[in-house]
Amino acid sequence: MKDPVIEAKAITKTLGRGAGEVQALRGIDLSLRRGELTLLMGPSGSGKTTLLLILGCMLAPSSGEVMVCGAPTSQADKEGLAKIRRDHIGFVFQSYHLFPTLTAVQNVQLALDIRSERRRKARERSRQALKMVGLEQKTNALPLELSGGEQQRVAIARAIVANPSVVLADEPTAALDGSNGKTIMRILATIAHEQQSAVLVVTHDPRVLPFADRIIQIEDGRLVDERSGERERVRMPRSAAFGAD
Amino acid sequence: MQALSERGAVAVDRSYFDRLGVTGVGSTAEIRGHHVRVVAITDGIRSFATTPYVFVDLKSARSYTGTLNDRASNLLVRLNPAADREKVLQAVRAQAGDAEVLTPDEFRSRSRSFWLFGTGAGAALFAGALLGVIVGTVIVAQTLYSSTKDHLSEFATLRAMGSSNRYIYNVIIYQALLNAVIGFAIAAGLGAVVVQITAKSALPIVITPWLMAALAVLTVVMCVASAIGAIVRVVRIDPATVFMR
Repeated sequence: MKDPVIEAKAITKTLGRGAGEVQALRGIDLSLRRGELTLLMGPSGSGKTTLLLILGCMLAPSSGEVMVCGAPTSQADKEGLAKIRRDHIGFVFQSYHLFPTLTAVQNVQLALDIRSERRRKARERSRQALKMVGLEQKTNALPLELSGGEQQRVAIARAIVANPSVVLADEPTAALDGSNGKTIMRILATIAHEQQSAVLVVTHDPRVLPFADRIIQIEDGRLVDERSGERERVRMPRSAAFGAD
Repeated sequence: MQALSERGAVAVDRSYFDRLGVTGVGSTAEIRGHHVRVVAITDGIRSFATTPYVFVDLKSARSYTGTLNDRASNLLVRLNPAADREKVLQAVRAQAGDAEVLTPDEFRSRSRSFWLFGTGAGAALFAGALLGVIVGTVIVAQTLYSSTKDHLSEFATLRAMGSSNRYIYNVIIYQALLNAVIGFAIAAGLGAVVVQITAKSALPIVITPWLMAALAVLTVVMCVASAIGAIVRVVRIDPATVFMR
């Protein structure tokens, strides 16, 4: 078994204070490994997003430890956590969070700009990332000129362009129709299997189940079930695999 | 000079024609009951105060002002080019008694100091300039702050992606410098127009290259200082907010 890219041990998280205090996570142990697409599923308020934020080094746990690529994160300050995100983690957000005045390629390039990559090389890598998600024809389109599915593909290209060890996706198919949702999940699965990244998808969309290697169920801040996924192991050429249905 | 030796001959500056009620060479006027005639016109010899200069020969000047022959307000000592200025200065000072003996630079400096610090004019000028700096800084700060506030979502996305504080500072300072360049270009253009318009007036405005450079530096400093509020606001952003929207 491969070493975990992210390892969470005995994570608890308490939100709020006094009468409004909520125990959002109650002793979570979880590992994310390269080459695996893991689904984190659960009802609203079960602690999915809180766990995602802690794994993504955006929220500190109340107790427990998160290791990213073998390094503990508990001692890192804000800048240190930002560096861990920059070096190891790519994010895909439910509402894309693309920059409206930047073109698709510029949006992707931003992920390399913050890593101080040279502009020409960053532009080329960004084009490659867009090609990987089947948007090589739309590199100069503004987000408003793209469909929801295409915008999410740009967001994925932005998340993977720096070759992160782990990609964390928050409800990436929630705003998409079935066809676009499948395309997005197929891309994320390929990122896991071909780029050997660890991919965690937080979702409560049952349509994504066929793409999972592992499915983790969370309820009331506890992991209540973990099982292997029913991934459809259909291999297709990249260009065909990433095109919209 | 030859013409001024005639009885009742005067020279006035072109910019004071209206104030003195003359129209040019040949015009007549009256000084303390003495009839005078304009025989020459100067160009650009203006008084900082409200009273215009009228040039006449020494004898007439004493007559018009009622000054005795052994009295004078100022005496101009013109040196032979071969003379040792310091030696002459010391010799004149030794014999001048209570009278002040000044070099041209000292005279210029004393005159400037008198108007700036010995009268209310300097205080008014400084107060006006200070007010301009304060208002300018506040306007740029407000502009940057509201622009930043409008784009908090984008800044939060950058933070979530792992951008460093330094990257964020650079983005905001770049915007501030853009404000400085645009603002300075407009102000410099307006300044050039004002310089042209006032060039022939009683109170010309002069903008030297050094003053222009100092104003450019001041503008940049003002704009960068204005960015502090926006930077403080952005640094306090919680990157986790991108998962809430």
